[in-house]
Amino acid sequence: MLFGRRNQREAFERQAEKVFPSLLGTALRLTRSREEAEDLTMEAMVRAYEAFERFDGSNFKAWMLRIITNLYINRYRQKQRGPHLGSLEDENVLEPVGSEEEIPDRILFDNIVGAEVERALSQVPEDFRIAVVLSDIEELSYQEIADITDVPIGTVRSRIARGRSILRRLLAEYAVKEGIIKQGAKE
Amino acid sequence: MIDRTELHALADNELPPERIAELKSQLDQDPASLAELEAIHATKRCLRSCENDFDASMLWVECRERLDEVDRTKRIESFVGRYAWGICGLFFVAIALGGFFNRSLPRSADSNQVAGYVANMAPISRPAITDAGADDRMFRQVLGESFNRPQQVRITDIGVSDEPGRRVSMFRCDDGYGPVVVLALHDIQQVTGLYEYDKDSRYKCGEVSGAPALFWNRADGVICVAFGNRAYGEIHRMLTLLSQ
Repeated sequence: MLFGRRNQREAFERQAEKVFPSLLGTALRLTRSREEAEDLTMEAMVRAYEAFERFDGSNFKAWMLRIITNLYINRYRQKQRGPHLGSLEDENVLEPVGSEEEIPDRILFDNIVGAEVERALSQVPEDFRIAVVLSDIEELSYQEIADITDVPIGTVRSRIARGRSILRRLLAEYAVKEGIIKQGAKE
Repeated sequence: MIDRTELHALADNELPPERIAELKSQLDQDPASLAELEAIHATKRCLRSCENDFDASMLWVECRERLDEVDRTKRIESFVGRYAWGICGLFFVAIALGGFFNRSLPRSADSNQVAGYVANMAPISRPAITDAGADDRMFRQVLGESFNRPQQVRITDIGVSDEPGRRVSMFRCDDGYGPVVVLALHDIQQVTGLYEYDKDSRYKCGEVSGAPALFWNRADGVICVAFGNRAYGEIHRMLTLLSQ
C-alpha cells in the first residue's frame, strides 16, 4: 500500500513535470494574473493528484487542462462575476471590424510576436480565448476542447473561428497604432 | 466564399478527408477564400509564437511540497481509518484509568474544600463502640499516640468515611465552650491557601466554612485539621490540651 502510493506519486510527478509549464501558461492566459494563475495551477495539481487513480492513462495533458479549465470556470469566473468579460451573446465581439481582405497578414504577423500577441489575446473575450488557447497554443483537438469545456463540438468550432477573427482585428489595430502597417494598406 | 468556420476547421485539419478534398477543389476557384485560409494559418503561426517559457521552477517546488502535505494527510487518514477502534479503545482506557486515579490517589485541596469532604461523607458511619475506652483508643489511633483526651474534653461524635479518594476520620469534641471538629484527611497530600500560625510553627491557619481552622501534619504525613467557632488561640489551646 505504502509502496503503491509512492509509485503513484512518482508516476504522477513524472507526467506532471512535463506539462507543468503548459498548465501555468494556460492558467496565466485564463486568469491574466500571475498570483491567481499560480493558485489555480497549484489547486489543479492537488486535485489531479487526488484523482490520479481515476485517470484512464490516455492523454495526461488534456486531462490536466480539463481540470484547470473547469476549476477556472467554476471558481474564478464566479469570483469575477462583477466585471463583464464577454460572452457568446455579446454581439459586438462576434465579427472583426473592417474587411479582413484589406489586412496584409504576412507583414502584420511577421512583425508581431510574443508579448504583443499575449496582450491582444488577453483582450479576447473569455469563452473564445479558452478555445483559442487550447487549440492553437496547447494544440488540442476540437473533440478534446469540447470535452474540457463541456460544450458541443460545433460550439468549439465557432468559438475558435470567432476568437481568431477578434485576435486578428486586435493585432491589426495594434500594428496600425505602432506604425508597423498603414491603415488600408494592401499586400 | 466558403463558410469561414469551415475554413478554420480546414486549417486545423478537423474535417473528414472527403470534405477536405471538396474544399480544396473549391479553393482553386475562390481567391478570397484562399486569402482567408492563408490569414487563418498566419494567425495560428502567430499564436504558436506564444511559448510556455515561464519560470515555473519555484512553483513546481511549492507544488511538490503541497503534494507531500497531501501524502502526509492521506497517511494519517489511512492510519486513523484502519485503527479507529483501537484508538477509541485506548482513549476509553485512558479516561477510565484517569477517573480511577483521580478518585483513589492523594491530591491537594484548598482549605475551603475541606468542609466539602465532611459534607460529602455520606454515608457516614459511626464505628461500633464496645467499651468505655474505645473512643479514646480510636482518638489516639487516628490523631497519633501523643494525643490524650483530658477529663474536661468530651468526644460527642465520631464519623468515618471510607469513600475512595475522600477518606476522612472525624471527631467532634466539646470542652464546655462549644464544639470543635477534628478531622484526619487521609487522601489529601497538601492543603493550599494556608499561612503559618505565628505562635506555633507546627500549625497553619486557614478557614473551613468560614470558621477558623488549624492544620497540622500527623507524624506519618496525614493532614489533620481542627476547626470551630472560636479564635485561633482557643483552638490552639484545645489542641495543646489534647496533646499533653
